[in-house]
Amino acid sequence: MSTGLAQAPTTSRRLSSAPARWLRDSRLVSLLLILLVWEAIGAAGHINPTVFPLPTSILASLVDNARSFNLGSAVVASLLTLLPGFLAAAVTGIPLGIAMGVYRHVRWLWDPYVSILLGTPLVAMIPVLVIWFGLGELTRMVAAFIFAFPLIVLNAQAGVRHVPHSLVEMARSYEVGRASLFWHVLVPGALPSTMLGLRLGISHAVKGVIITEMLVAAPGLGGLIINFGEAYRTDHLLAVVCISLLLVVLAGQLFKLLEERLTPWARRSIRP
Amino acid sequence: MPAVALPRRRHRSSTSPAADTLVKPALQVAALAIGVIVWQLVGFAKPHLVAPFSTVAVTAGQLARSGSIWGPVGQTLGELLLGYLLALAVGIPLGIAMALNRAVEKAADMYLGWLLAIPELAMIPFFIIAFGVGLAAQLAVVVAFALPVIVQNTLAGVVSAQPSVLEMASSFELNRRQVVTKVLVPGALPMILVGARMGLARSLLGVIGAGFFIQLFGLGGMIYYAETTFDLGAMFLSILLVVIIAFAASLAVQAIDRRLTFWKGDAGAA
Repeated sequence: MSTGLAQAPTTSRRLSSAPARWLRDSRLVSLLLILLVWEAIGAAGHINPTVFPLPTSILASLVDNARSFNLGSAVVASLLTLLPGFLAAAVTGIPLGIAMGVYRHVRWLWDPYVSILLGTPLVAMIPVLVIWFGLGELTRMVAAFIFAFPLIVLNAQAGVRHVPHSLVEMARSYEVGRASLFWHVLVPGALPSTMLGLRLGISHAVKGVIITEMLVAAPGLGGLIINFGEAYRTDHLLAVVCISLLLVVLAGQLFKLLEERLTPWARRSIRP
Repeated sequence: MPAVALPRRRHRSSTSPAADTLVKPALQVAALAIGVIVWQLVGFAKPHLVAPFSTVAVTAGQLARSGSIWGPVGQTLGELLLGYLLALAVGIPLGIAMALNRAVEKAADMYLGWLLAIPELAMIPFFIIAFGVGLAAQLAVVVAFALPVIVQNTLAGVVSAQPSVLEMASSFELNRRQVVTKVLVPGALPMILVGARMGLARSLLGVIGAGFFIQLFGLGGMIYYAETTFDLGAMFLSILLVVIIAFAASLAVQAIDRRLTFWKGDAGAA
């Protein structure tokens, strides 16, 4: 993506050490600036502290909750239901996606359902899950599953379908068997897209678990959000929201790292 | 019939291309039909878990005749449209304006990324605190859910303007406003539409979520109320209606997309 608007070159290379470069990043500077202005306006009493708590009070809530193990146990609780659900989605979604990519009849059969899951707000389906699976952990695991599943299937499918024909034809010219073709050409070829699907899937799974916890007032980050919301403790509320955000971002970054290590060639190829 | 294990364009399996054009829609219709049949069977076997399709259809008929279904549907659609159009009206100009300033654009991209990573519904309690419990809060939620995606995609669309096109514009000696309206915006249109599509999905999410948490209204409220009263028929009906609305909405945006970007041809948006 080229930033074709300005002709000037990007950041200067005078300070080459990583921390110094980091500090000169204008985005971090802008973030600090915004936080400072927010703090100043709030401290001067110009805004309602209930609606816009000061950054320092959010930080204080963060420390407070961390120390009382509130936050830690909530994160663990959320993760414990997230991981099984996500793994189940990966284990079922990747084979289905690959099958849909390889066999067009499988694709035509399953496409309506995957599209429905992709296109509708999955939040609407959570109450059904509550009726089916109760208020316990299983519901949250299933929620993680249905939030991650469609994206994993879609990307695995796209990965298989976007394997360049030239590769397939080259393999065929070596007269390799179908199984070998599948495992040595299609699967590695589909890997980058599949990894992307897993990365998107886990981000969505985190969101799904937190949303379900909110609806069910379960132990976990979502439960904390509801509790603090009802108590009008905006500082604690925003602190937990920040942690949720961090969780989503970290999960995504973890998978991005995995992606880069498992499929290093993908960076050089043309990604759709 | 042994399917070919490769997505090859020219090779065909035992069915001819002509037969394939029949097979595809037939299979998709069959898939939905099988789904409805399975739904009916499961609902018949376990009526305390799943309301069978017949019950849902009957409930739909009853509510349609008594008129009480149109209230929730109307509320959902109304707030969806209102919030969504508001988000577009604010988001697209905002995205364009942000893209014109390089420093703003870099910072905005980071913030927007964060905003998009927050579990959406987690922000609702905050909106309740800020706006109370009422129409303002509901609309604020719908707008706030859609805004970041719309702004981000508009931003990306404008920023990805090709230097060659910009040079051409300057060779015509267009002033800044003309460059924006006649060159940048049309060029950014595909990405703006991608943002619009995603924004619509998020707006619908916002309406349903607001119906769960802020005030029981619309289809979201119907689902939530059905959960508390274990009214499976109403719950499945309202979920089905949500699915239909989501489907219709995405079709509508796709149609508008096709009309607006007809000039892009094959090199168009993903």
